[in-house]
Amino acid sequence: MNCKTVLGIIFLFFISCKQPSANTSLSDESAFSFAFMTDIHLQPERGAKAGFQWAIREVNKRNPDFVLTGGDMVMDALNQTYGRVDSLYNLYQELSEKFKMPVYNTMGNHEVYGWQRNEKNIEQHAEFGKKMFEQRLGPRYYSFDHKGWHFMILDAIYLGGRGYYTGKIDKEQMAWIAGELEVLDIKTPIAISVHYPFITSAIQLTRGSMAPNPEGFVISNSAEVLRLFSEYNLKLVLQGHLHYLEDIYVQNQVHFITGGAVSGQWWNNTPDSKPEEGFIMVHVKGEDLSWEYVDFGWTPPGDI
Amino acid sequence: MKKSWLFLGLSLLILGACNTQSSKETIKAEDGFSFAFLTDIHLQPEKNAVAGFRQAIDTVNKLNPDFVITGGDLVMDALDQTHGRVDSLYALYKEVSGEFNMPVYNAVGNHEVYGWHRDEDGIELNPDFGKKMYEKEMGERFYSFDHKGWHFIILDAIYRGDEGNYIGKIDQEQVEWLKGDLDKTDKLTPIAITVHIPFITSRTQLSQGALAANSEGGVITNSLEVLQMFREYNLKLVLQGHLHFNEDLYVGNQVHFITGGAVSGQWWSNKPGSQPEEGFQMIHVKGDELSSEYIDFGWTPANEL
Repeated sequence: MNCKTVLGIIFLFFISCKQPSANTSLSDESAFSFAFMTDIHLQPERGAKAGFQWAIREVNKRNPDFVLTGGDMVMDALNQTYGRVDSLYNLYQELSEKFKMPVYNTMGNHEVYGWQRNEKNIEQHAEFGKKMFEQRLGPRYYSFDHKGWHFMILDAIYLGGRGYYTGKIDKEQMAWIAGELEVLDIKTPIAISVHYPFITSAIQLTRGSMAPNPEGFVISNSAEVLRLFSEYNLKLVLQGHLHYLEDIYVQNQVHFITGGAVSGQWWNNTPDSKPEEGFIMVHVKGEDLSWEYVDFGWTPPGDI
Repeated sequence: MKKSWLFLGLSLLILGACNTQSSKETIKAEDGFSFAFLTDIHLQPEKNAVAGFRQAIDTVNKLNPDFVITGGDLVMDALDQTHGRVDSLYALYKEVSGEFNMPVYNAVGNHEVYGWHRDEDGIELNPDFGKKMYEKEMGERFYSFDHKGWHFIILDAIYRGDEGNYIGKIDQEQVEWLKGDLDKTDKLTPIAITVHIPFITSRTQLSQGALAANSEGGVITNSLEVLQMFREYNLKLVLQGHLHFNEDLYVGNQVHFITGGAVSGQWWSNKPGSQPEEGFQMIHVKGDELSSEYIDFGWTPANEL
């Protein structure tokens, strides 16, 4: 193999890199923190309710400006009765009311009602598919601004044929992202929250470096989506889904953080389980950021 | 000594991602130290590479780290050039790298291997063929050393594939050696590995999409087997080269896999906007925590103006 030919391809991403700390356009007064909580998998079983309440208490104590969730808030809407799913959404909304700050939700695969359920005429249900999330928790993709940063929440749950879904950003969102960016100052620091990862080291570490990421683990059109941001000041991508903790910092520009899981291993951690039940606290100063994984001290009844 | 880095390790656990600002403050701490990681130098008489490398060395000498580790591809090129050319490149590298004011620990890259890709009668019989040139001129292709409580392991990931070309792999001889080396290492001792070809990388996923697989010339194909050997150990840092790409994959709040850009940028041919900038990594160690920063030593190729 001719290494120079392959590696010599000019790398187009993040060509407009800025040096991290040098000249921030935002003043230090704009420093703030927020919590990223992913894969909560709330359910009445496994002590999950108490565990989530511990997490909420820890967040309130730390008092960030807001909370971002990374999807899979409930377990599970894909293949449960309407009664069960309805009660899970109600439970999540009831408990998440206890956050003392605004909560911005991201859609996960386990929020999609009925997609994998074999039940007559379920497609006709008024809350079938993503409609349940949209009617109860809000739009499946949206953006907001906070102290000079632009936050974009994406929906990576791509519904294929009945029962099938994968990680992908649909055309509707691609057009929406393009429109959003058109009116955004190219210097504005951008953070994305999305359930499926754009990139991850998890598969290479567990199966060897030659193993490709399987569909269903990542966003299959990641390169296409990230290209939209190549001229912009993308600083942070918050990801979930894998119950895995990593920070991939590329080209001295973007952090791709997969945020562990509030539920650890689905509220079933044993003493050696990774990740610990936890969440990410992101500390922003100007356009720089640092983060820490907060283990909120939960020990499942079986983890003693 | 051990007690103090353990204590610091605990207190620094919450530092999280590398933070270049705090690194500058922590560097002066008593048991802290720094070292420079310079990879993919691709030294050659052409492209003004000698002057560029000298500028990098000057910058390193000013920053005055405890030592320098190189990440392979020191010269351009031994794989497919005449013995005379290769010989002079090694001589040039040794002469110029003699200007570092601190010890230099080298790692072997694919471009240091003499003759593997060269179609020349009887070349395999040359006493310098393959890695023998490197071993004769530079020293061991794999080894370890200790520094202020840390254990540094230098590996050779250049493996000759079935068709005579190189692929990324840690050979059986090293796997055996590693077992012995780790047997002698305390499980709490922080470990740093240097290797030319990466164990893991995000580069392929970023450029070709998240479903794309790495190639056997781009990564260590038996990465899993090797990394599993460190499972019970305190592996903190893996320094990688080869890709001319900057990334820090920090996994499980434990290990940084840093691909260190390239001293030569894009083979001493950067244009405005080329990534990476010609640069190197400064690693700041305190206790068993670390931070890193990429130092652009300010080189501008003549054609980049």
